[in-house]
Amino acid sequence: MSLELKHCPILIAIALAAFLVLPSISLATEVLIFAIIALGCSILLGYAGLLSFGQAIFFGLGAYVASLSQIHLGVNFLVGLLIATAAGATVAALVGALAIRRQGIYFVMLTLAFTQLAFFVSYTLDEWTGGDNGLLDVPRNSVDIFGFEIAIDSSEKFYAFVAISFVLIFLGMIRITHSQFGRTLLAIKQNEERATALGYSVKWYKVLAFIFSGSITAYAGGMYALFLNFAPLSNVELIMSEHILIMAIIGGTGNVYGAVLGSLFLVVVGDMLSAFWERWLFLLGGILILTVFYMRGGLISGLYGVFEFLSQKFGSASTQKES
Amino acid sequence: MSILTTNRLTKSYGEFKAVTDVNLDVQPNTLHAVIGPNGAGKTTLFHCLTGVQRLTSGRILFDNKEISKLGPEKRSSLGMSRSFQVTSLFLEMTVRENLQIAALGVSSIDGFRFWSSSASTVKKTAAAVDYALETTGFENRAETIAGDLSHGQQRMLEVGMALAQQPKLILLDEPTSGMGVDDIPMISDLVRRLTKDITVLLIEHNMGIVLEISDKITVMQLGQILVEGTPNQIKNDQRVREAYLGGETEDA
Amino acid sequence: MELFFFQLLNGLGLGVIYFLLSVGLTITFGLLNFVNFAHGAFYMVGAYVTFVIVSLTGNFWLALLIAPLVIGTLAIALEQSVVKFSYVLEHKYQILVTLGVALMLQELVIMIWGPIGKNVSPPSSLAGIIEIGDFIYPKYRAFVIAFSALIAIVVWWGLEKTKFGALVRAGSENAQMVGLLGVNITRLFSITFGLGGLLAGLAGVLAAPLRGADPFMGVEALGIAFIVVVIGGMGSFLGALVGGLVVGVMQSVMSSVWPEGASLMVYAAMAAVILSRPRGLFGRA
Repeated sequence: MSLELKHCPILIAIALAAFLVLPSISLATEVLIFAIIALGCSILLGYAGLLSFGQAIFFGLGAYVASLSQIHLGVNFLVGLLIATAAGATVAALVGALAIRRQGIYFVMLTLAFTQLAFFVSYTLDEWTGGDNGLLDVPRNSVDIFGFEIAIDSSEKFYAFVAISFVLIFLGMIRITHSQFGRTLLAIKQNEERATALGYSVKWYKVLAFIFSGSITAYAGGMYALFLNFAPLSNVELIMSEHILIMAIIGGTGNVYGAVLGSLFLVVVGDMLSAFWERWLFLLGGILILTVFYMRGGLISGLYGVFEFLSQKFGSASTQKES
Repeated sequence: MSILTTNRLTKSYGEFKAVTDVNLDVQPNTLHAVIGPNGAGKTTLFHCLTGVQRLTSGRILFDNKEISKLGPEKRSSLGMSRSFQVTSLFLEMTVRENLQIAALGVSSIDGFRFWSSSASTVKKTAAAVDYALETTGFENRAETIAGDLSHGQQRMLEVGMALAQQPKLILLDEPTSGMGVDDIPMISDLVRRLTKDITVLLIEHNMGIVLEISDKITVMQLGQILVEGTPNQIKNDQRVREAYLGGETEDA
Repeated sequence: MELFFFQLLNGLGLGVIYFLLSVGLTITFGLLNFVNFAHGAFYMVGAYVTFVIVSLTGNFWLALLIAPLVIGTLAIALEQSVVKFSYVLEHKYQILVTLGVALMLQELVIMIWGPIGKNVSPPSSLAGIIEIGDFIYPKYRAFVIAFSALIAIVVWWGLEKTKFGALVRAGSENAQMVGLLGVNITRLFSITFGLGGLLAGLAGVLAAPLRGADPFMGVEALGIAFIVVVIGGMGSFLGALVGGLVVGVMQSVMSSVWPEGASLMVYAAMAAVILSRPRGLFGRA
């Protein structure tokens, strides 16, 4: 309980600050959605130690399933997102269970192959996905409870919905990472052989990590499609997986707030830079390299470092005053 | 009533037979050592017993259950724990956290509890963790990060990890390996004390220690059992002397 | 039947280019267990250098000579300045570093030449077709097959018959051993990395007249090279050759039957091979 009490205000503050500080609502919406997506990647990489190029599968799947449910099933947007989440969990369990049968570079290559497969399947099934053109005109069907209608038909309302989702998903993931499951994942990441010898069925832990990661990524993918009213094919491209990875790594994968920083950095800096310098991805490549060499913990560790430095300075200054 | 027996245990790699027809018989609450010169098949035998490698033929019975086909992760919940020859810890965690993870490993579901806090889950390990801390002498260093311990201390924690699982049988793979001469008594005392509560199977190449603390010794050579007996019998056995001739004649 | 034969030959041509593309990747993996996500970028830059030389001088042969050397030099420069510092890191960090390098090269190319692809015309002496009875085949494609086959033989000879090749082969069996023999293993690796880049660049040169040069061909090529290397077996020269031909022919034949399915199938094949036979067809056990 104390965990929620501590983190809930921080998360609400982040959601409010994004709304108030960022130049546009759509930018703030995008930051929160991609923060969830980066968090999904961070669960795999930072906790289970799995470098996966498969996140675009869940992202694209969530977008397609949520969109198709709005178009063909006519269910409300909440149900649509829940179906997308369930689909994400199912496919993540499958992809995860297959991919973790191999380790190291072979694991990475498998996730890469699965993403390419997902891309070409989406491309081929153009009757459902719209192929190259993407799935256009995705509606947001309103929720109708006993004649009381909840619609997310304005960008403010949509932002409010995304913000609530953001807070709840982050609280859930904070709880999971602070659980014994989270601790066991860290143990497996540090020493898989020992964990196995101690009795842990390592593969099921990894599959469960995949399921959590895949579900929240698919949910966020669904929100992104509803946000754009559009589910483009580029959602399932390998390059999307790369961007998600880079976002998570630059933000820092050992801490849930790293995901927020990573998303903030990529979405906001990308938005600002691309206005006058279209090739800002060049910079991103360089930053990725520098992060790996000099700041493995990402921006979040840098931020903590600054805090520590300041508190030490402030702390020592105050003790000097006392003496 | 033996606790662990192997029946014609054989492991071959293609044509090469690393271990041939080994029949072990480990009695409860004893310290049973397996020794032999390099290439005798000790390590392969150990891997088969821990489940890291599959046997080619033969059977392993633990506590009257056939375990030959169980993976390594299945054996600890039956009451069989192991240490590693090369220290294998969770180096970024504290001593206590290492022991907690070890203690929870025997439960098949506790590690999967993702909704309740870790603090509430590890409560149930308190007794096992305290026992391991006490037995290995880590009471005052429980909050030290494992990576910051000295090499000798890491070797002790290595044994402590197996103890925290409260096993019936503990398999120790060269627990003194890489230890300084001064630290070795620390481990050998510990191992000797353990047989009060549990059974110890020790793989070791340090003949001196083995002769000093074991109840029963199995000497292996070229993948087979050469001779078996009490330390006194082994000390005076001509075949053992020959096998070790020119090598480790620490019994002299 | 004739169409099938035509596609088969095309597949062969594609396959030998894939071989040149992949052989460097597979050998650097064998040597230091290093996976280079920037490898596809060498192929792309090779195609662009060809474009520049051909549009400046109009001489394709000059490009064929110079471009691979330029790419080889680029590869060594990258290895010395960035890549070599990642050898001590875990696999996943090596992947991220080279991913960063690939991204930078791609964006650099777009900054210079724009996002739209460029066309490169084949040399005039190789324009037109060959006629053998009723069967006709483009001259340039025939040249690619013959020339790449020659290069494959040279690479094979270099690996099998020279001291350098023996070291590379021994190093990929057991790098530590070779290090113990007093060979400077990091130097050996730099040179191999450079030669691998050179060959990928050469593949880019040969591909340029067939498919043009565009900034995203590097990512595509990386995917193909991974498939080839996985199917053939990581670290194996023969694997890269057979894998390249299999993938090339498969893509080419499929493209007349079910074009979208071609890529789908090769990636499915890649996943199936990793899952069922992770060492590939010719990989080390």
